[in-house]
Amino acid sequence: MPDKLKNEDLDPGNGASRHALAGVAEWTGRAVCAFFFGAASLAEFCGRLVVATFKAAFSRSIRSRLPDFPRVFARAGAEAVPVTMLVGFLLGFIIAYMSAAMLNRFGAEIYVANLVGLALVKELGVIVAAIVLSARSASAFAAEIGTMSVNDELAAMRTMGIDPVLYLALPRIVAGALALPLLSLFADLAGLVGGWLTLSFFGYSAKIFIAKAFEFCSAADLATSLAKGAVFGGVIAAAGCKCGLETGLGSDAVGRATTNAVVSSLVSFIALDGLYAILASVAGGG
Amino acid sequence: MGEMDSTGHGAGAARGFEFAVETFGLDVGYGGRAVQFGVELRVRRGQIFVLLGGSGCGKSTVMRTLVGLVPPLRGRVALLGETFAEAGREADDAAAIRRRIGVMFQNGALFGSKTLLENCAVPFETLPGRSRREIAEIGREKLADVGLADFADLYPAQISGGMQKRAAIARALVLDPDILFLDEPSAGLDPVTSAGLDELILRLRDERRMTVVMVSHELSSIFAVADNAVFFDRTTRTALDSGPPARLRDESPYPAVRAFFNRIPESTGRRT
Repeated sequence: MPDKLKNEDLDPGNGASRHALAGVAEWTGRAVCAFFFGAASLAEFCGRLVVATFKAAFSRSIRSRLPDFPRVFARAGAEAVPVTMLVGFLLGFIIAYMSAAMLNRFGAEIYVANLVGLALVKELGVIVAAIVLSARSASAFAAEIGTMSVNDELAAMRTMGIDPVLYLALPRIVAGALALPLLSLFADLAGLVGGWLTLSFFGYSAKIFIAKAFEFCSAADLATSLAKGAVFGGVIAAAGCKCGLETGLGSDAVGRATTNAVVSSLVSFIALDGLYAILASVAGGG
Repeated sequence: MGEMDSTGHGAGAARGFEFAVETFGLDVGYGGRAVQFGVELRVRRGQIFVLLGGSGCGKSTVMRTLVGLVPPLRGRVALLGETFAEAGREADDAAAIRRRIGVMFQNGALFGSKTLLENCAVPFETLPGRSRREIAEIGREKLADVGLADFADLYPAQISGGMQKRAAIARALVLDPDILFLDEPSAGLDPVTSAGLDELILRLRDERRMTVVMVSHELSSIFAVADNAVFFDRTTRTALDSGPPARLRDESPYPAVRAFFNRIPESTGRRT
């Protein structure tokens, strides 16, 4: 037996596979550590933001930033409406089309409306909006703030006694938190239209579709979805701002910050959504 | 580094302190790695003081440490008689001191999304009690001081590099600071614009009794404006010599210092 083991140890193929296994384990370990360090870092950033906000709650620093808020809000919100509606519409259409093809065999295609309504209002509408916000705004925030960092504009702020976290991040995070629930409503609406379009091929009217779509959805579901959207929006914007504020030196660093912003914002809100689903399940809220 | 000579321009100790900028055993650098050791500066009020040295010697890092952007690795920085930064901690009243200093960065560091006038309003963000009209008036006045009165409503990208530097000086001046820090104000400018900036710096010292600390490579500019200078050496990572520029050029016991002023290539200079 010891001889056999020794022979296996000497087998180059076996050594290579063990080496590969070790590599996978190392990579997994690093990825897990990076995820938790990233989450801790984002939580720390949010904590800094809360402290900074309270410290300057009634100071000129915050009041004077309000005029800047509409510009940021318009970019993150209003300008994102068309693409959010397009993605929502296609998603609703695809879900309805795929499920109708199956349910039609049992003569149950009307339940497509229930499925589309429930999925969009409770989950998918806010996720579509969150993905759009991550791709459009978190990256833009990181690039904008990162470029300012490279150009010494953040350093200039610090020498003036201005906290860039408060001055730059706060209006963007508030804009994200307000824009995402509204965007999710647009995604819901467009998705329902897409779903109805599919069912219309089966001869169902819009009135029937709407009645069925909201059969299992309550106002509480919508409110919960909007609340989730506000949290996701704030976290996505925070992730973008954080990556921008931590930008290193050079244009390459801005590119890396932008990529990190999209990845970390996507991972953050999906992790939060998963956490919410677990908590809701434990609490019996489904 | 020894005490700098006074030129008598400043208000002296009338307001309770003699030196506008003092450092005590200051080690500066990034990530625990020092680029300059044991920096001892004494800049009297009302002086124009230049930080000199070859590329990569750490003079910009020294200035960033003086203005609180880079924490000292060791030692202490005092501005206007108060401790401003110390290894391991920042002074409690650092915010109050910050309002009394103005900083111009090498590339201007103007906010690209704001007009020149809006840029000049930014330092007021932390100062309540002034109306928008007052702030705009002050901004226009400072822009006029640097010859940019007609450009107040333009964005930084719409003006030249030299104008951006002047606008950055205007922004640094809006709070009427006691100390003005300038990072290579003349770098990359044509001789005429550079001479104009020198005149402006001299005016700030003579008319407003402002202390100016600047990083510069431009010998003509240094001889035109500097009361005193300190030379940072890249090899020893220490401040080798200090004093009036003419004395450093002609009488410094350090070959590297004389070589710098006499534009002798480093390898040759080391042997002299």
